[in-house]
Amino acid sequence: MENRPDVDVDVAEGRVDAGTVTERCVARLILVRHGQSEWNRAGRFTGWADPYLTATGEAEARSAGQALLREGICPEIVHTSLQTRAIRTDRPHAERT
Amino acid sequence: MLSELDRLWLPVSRHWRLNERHYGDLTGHYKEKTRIEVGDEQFMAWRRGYDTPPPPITHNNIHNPNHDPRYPSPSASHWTNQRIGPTAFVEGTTPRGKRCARIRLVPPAAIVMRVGLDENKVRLVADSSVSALDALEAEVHLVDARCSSDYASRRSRLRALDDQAKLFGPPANRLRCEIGKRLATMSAYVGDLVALRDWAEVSIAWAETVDEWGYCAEQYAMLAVSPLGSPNPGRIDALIRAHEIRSTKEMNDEQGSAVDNAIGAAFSNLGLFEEAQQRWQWSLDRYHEKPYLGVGLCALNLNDIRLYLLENPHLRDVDDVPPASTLERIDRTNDILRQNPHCPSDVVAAFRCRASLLRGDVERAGWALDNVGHPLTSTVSWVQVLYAKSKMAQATDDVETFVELTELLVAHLGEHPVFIHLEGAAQRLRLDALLVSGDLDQASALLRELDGRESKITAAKLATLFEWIRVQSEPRIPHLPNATSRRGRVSLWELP
Repeated sequence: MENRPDVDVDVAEGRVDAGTVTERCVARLILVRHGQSEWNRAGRFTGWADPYLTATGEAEARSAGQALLREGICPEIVHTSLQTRAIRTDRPHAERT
Repeated sequence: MLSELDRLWLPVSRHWRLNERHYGDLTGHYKEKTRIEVGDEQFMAWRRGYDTPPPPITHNNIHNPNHDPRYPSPSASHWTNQRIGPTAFVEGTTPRGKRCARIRLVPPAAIVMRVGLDENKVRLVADSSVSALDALEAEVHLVDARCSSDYASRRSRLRALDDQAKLFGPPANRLRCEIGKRLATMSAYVGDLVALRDWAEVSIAWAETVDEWGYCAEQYAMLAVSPLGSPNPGRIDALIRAHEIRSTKEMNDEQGSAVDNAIGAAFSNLGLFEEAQQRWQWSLDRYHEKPYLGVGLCALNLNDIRLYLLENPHLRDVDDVPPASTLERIDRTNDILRQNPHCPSDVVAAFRCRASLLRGDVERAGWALDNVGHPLTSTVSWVQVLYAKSKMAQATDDVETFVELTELLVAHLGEHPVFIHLEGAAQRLRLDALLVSGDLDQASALLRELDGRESKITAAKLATLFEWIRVQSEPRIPHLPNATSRRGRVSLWELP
C-alpha cells in the first residue's frame, strides 16, 4: 500500500460523475468515546493521567463494537490517543494476545 | 470494539495529539470537591471554557508527563494546558470537517454532533435534542456510511428519506437538493443515464430555491458529462449553463473546485481535451493549498488525460506536447497524489504503471502494480487497474492474460459510464487483444460496433460553444488564495 498521512476513520466510498473517472472519497469519521475509567467512576479530573477501564467500561467497549457491527459500519483505520483507556476500548483483550 | 467487528487486524495509529486535554495541576483532584472550593463559575470555565487553562502542572506532580516515557519532552510547560491545536492531524481533517459535518454516534441514540472548525480551535458541540430535520439529514449522510455497495438498496433508502423530507416543506429544500444530488450520482454509478438526468434536474430545482449555486452548477456539469453512445442533445446547453453559474454566482471554494472538475470532465467527454486540461489546471493552480476533494480529482483527471494523449499520439500535435517533459509532470503529480489521503492509491498506481510502460520500463511498471492495495476503493479504480494490467500484459506479450483482462475490462465498462476517452481506449485495447489472439470474427464485430458510435455533436453546436466560451470572462473567485500564506509553506498541492 501507498503511504498515506494520518486521516480520521476512513471508509472510502467512491463517487462517480456520469462519464468521468472521478471519485469522491467521502470519509466517515466515527467517534467512539472510551469506556468508563476508574477515575470516571470516582469523579476525578483525568486529563493525561492514565487510569484503567472498569469492568463496566470494558463492557461498554464491547457494546460499541456490536453497535457498529449492527449498523454495518466497517472502519478501515483506527486512531486513538496514547491513553490506556482509549487503547483498551479499541482492543480490550490486547494483553491476552 | 475491534474484536466484535472481527477487525483486530486493522491498522491503528496512536498519537498524543489525540489525548484528552491536559488538566494541569487539577489532574487527580475530585471534581465535586473542587467545585465546592472554587465555585461553579471557575469550575465550569476550567471544564468547558476554550480560553481558560487550568493551573499549570508543577514539576514534582506525579502526573507531570515528563515522568512518563510516552512523552519525551524537555519541559513540562510544553505539555501543560495544550488544547488540540492546529496540528498536522487536525489540518489533515480540516477540509472535511469545515463543511459542518454531521455525524451520528451509534449508540447511545440518534445524537447528531456538529463538528465545526474555527481557525485554531476544534469545537465539538454535542446536541442531544436535535431537530427531526437534523436527524433526517444525519440519516441521509449515513446511507453512504454503510459498507454495502448495493446501489439499489441505497437508492430506495434515499427515495424513502426524500419522501420524509417532503413533509417538512421549504425548510427541507436544501436537504432535498442533497438527496437529489446523491441519487443522480448513484444513477451514474449504475449507468442509468435517464435517472441521472431526472435526479440532476430535481437537485437543480431545489438548489435554485435555496441559492445553492455550487450544487446547481455541479449538477448541470454532470448533465453535460454523457458517455459515448448515449448522445444527450442537451449536454452542451447544460455545460453552458454550468459555466454561466460558475462565472456569475457566489460559491465556496470547495464547491468551486468540485464544479471546475465536473466542467473539465464535460469538456473532456466532448473531446475538447485542451479545454479540459486548462480547466483542471486552472482549478489546481487556484486551490492547491486547500486540498479539497475536487482538487485531488482534477489532479487525477489531468494525469489521466496526459497519459491518454501520450498513448495515442495521433490525437495530438507531437511538437505540441514533448513526451519527456509530460512524463515528468505526470511523475511529479503522481508523487504528490500518493501523499494525499483523498486520492485513491490504486488509481495512482495504475497511472504510474502506464507512465513506466510509456518509457519502456516494464520492470518498474510491474512494481507499480505490486502496490495496488485491496480492496479497491471503487469500480472506477477497478477499471483503471484493469486497464493498466491489460497494458502490462500487452507489453509483456502475455497474449492469454491480455485477452482475458481486456474482456473483463470491457465487461466492467458496460456496468457504468467512465470518461469517454477511457471507454474508447479500452475498446481499442480489446480490439488489439482480439487481433493478437487471431480472433478475427470478434475483432471485426467489435470494429463495426465502434464505427456505429460516432459522436453526435454537430459542428453548429460546437461553434456555439466556442463562441460562448470566447465571450465569457474567467469565472469569478470569491476567495483568492492569500499571497502571504503561500510563502514559506510546503504544500501537498504544489502541483506541476
